[in-house]
Amino acid sequence: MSSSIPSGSSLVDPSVAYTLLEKLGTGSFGTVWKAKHNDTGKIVAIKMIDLESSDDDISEIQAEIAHLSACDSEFVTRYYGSFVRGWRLWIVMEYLAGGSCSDLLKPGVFTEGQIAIICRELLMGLLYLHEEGKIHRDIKAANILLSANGAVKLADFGVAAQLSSHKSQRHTFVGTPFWMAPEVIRQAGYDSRADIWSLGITAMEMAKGDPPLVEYHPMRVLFLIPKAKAPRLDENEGWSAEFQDFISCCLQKDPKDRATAKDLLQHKFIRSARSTSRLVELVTRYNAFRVQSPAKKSTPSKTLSKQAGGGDYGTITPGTIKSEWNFDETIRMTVRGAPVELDLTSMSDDDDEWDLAEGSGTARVKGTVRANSRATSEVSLPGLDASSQTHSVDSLPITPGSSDSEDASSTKSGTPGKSTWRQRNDRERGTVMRMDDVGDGYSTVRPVKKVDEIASSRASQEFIGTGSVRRIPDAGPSAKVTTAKSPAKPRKTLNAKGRAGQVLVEEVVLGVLDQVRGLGTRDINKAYQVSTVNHDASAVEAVNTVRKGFADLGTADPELAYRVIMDILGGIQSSETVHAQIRDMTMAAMVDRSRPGVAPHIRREGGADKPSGVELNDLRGKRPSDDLIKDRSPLADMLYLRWLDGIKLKWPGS
Amino acid sequence: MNFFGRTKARGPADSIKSLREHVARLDQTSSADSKRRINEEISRLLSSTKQALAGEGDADAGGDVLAQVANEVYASDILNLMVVNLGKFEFEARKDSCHIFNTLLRRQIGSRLPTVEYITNRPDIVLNTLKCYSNPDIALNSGMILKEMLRYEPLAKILLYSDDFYTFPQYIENSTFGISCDAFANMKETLTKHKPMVATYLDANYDKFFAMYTNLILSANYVTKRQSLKLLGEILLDRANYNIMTRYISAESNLKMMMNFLRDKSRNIQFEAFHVFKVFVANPNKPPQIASILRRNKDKLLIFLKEFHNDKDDEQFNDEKQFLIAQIQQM
Repeated sequence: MSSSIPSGSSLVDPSVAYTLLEKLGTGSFGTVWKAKHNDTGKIVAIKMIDLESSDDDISEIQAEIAHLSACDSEFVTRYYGSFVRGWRLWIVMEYLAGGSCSDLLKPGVFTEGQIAIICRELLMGLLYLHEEGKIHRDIKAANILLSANGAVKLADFGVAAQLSSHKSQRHTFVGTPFWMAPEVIRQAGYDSRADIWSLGITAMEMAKGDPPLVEYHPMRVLFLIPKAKAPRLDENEGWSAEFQDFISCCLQKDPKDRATAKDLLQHKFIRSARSTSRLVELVTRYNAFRVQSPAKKSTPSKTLSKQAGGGDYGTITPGTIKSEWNFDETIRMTVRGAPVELDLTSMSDDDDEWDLAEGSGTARVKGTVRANSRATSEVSLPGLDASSQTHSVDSLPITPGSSDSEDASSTKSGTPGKSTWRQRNDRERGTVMRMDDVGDGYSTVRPVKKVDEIASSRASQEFIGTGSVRRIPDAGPSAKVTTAKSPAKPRKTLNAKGRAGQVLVEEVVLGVLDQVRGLGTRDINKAYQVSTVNHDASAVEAVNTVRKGFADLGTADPELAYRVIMDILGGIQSSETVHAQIRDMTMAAMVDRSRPGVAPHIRREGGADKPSGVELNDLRGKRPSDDLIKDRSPLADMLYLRWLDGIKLKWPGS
Repeated sequence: MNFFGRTKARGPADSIKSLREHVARLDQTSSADSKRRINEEISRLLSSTKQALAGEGDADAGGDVLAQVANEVYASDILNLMVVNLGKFEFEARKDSCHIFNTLLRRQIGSRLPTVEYITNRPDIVLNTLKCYSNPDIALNSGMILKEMLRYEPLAKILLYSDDFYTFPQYIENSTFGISCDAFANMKETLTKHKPMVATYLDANYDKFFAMYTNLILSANYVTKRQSLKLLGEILLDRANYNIMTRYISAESNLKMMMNFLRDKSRNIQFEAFHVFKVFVANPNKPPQIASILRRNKDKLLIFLKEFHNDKDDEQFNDEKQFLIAQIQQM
């Protein structure tokens, strides 16, 4: 690594080797400082991590350092060294004065020309990383830093991965929800192409100010990304054909269809990009914006924290949560921009460090100072006062004390138009957040890998409570779905209508809606492979809302559920308008739409156009042999047939 | 200087031959310019060898290519040369060296691991790799090679049984964070990967090992202390190390040390110490000197443990703590 700072200085007390100039950011991990190397006068960024506040295996923090120190690219932030002082880790990094792209987006979105330049530089960085067998896994505007003269650099390797060969894949669930590739969320095994997806999302973020799906709760997004159609730029918004095509090359749901960094460097959109010096205007614009915005004046720059790899999400993020679950395996989960680490399955030995596990009983808690103990000290514990036995080695030369004002100021700086999400987020997870973490609701959360485990795992308890975590891969992580698991709940005694309502909901309505959602109800893997179902995210989420409504109703008041369903059926039967519409369709089309689970075998029977009662009854006879509907209750089909019969009564022409 | 014309390697095996020649020349020349040109050629050869081994795209590296390269490597001593000269190579060449080394290590013919067998007969390669920790420029590269070697028991055994193993503390204590952590991780790997082999060693070299290890635990460096205390807990609680554990928890000085750590200012240190301390208390056959210390501190320990890390949600920890309290109460 081409460090201009002599490695000999590494063993010098860093507080002597560097002069801290100004604090650039604060986060749950600690602080980031702009500092000067005394011997060379070089300006650097120093991230200070409070190791004592992390109960993680300390060596995991080293992974980021190992990645950075293996990179020698002008498109990747430089790492100069790391030291431990007291219980604090100092990581010395390249200082980039321009800011992160997410900072630079605050005054407004970028032009296509600017996006093209940034994407080209990013692709150069990704090409380097990918040829090294590295996956960044957290590409997003917040992790892209600009120098004062417009150079673009990739930062934050906190969750990067190293592949051992061309063929190897990763399975760990990690990244930042809005930017995560579908295959990463599915944990289906992924490689460097996951970064290309995130690059596409980032390009849209730079064009629009937000990543796609930003209106949804991040927990929902994890579900929607694999299910919904890949995002595209709105054709009516006047984007160039090249940019639209570039986005569609990046955002292919199947990684096999996705372009590589090398391919994309040849893309017309990229080839026409101008020099990076053009990006200086973004830096200038942001500096002017900061000056104008009074709320910003006490936060000189948040970017350093990003560059230093820890991020200052403490000051900006509402959710800032990196929560950890511990069911039977390690799950790390973060929300809204916060990188997520889930390791539901340790599928390959090539997988991430998380599997290396701490002993099950080793959750550790925040403390304060390291101390020096002596084997020779007294045996008896005299009065339990620590003074006789420990020396504190604490006290950094500069104790970060100004964090309060800084947090407060950035909290105020909301970005217009973002509040919807923030409100949702605040409402849904209010108790989860710590006050420090509440920010403007826009800037993305940075990976807190290894930092602040305690707060995170506490925060995660909220999610455990909802029971939704395990369902991330199949039904979506939101609590919305969880109530659908009503069979597990104790039931009060129900009358006939109540029982019917319950059965209707569980056997029919939820089944139908699951089919619509493309979920094989039990087969998780299949759920993701169903490629025929590919609706817009908004449609997918609407179906989920309906499903949740029915599931809740079926649990809360099955009798009412029964009445609602029957009233709908009755409404269909008695409405001439409906019949007029239905008459215009072929039976197959109607069946297909309303009852996908049954449609295939009706079609197979050939009589789909005009299913007579006889044919349908024949079908019922064959039901048990039909894999597709094996799990279906006979009652469900019976009700369905009855419904058809009811329609036929009003529809003698068929 | 006429290397350029002569080194047009025809195949990957030829690249290895050529590589060996160039590495030898690196030491022979004193001219900075020719050193640079030799280094460029070394980088090129390493890069092309790496690519040949990686195979084209997703295809498996042809077994042929691997076999040719491997045989040439075994014949030419290139593994050792790569390790010893790692610090002289260019940045990318160091990484390529690691890659080639580790690819060869994983080479398998049926159940045989030819490269592992080769290095087993060349213990100096393992020890030379360890020595690279003293050079910060290459410590993380060599650390990757060492880590890969330690996956294989014969190689881990070479390191553990060597006196050089006892240089680990020096690398852990005198390096910057990144290197120190890497060295610690490899020491841990040596001590935990191949349990029966390690247990035999620790049994036979108990005093020597723990004299070294206790110094790590007492390190003034917070990271070293915390990591080594945690590893101590893991080592002692491993079933394979039962004999070692019983010896460890019979020593008065060890108990005292842990009791002091329980009251360390760092909560993480306290917590790690708890996981060692609990073994002393849980021992059904406590030696008299251990029982006596515990009895002497009975009241204080009871008060202390009742207040110890009560904010933890960890069920197992709380159970263990209750168990300890009950045990101490009975004393």
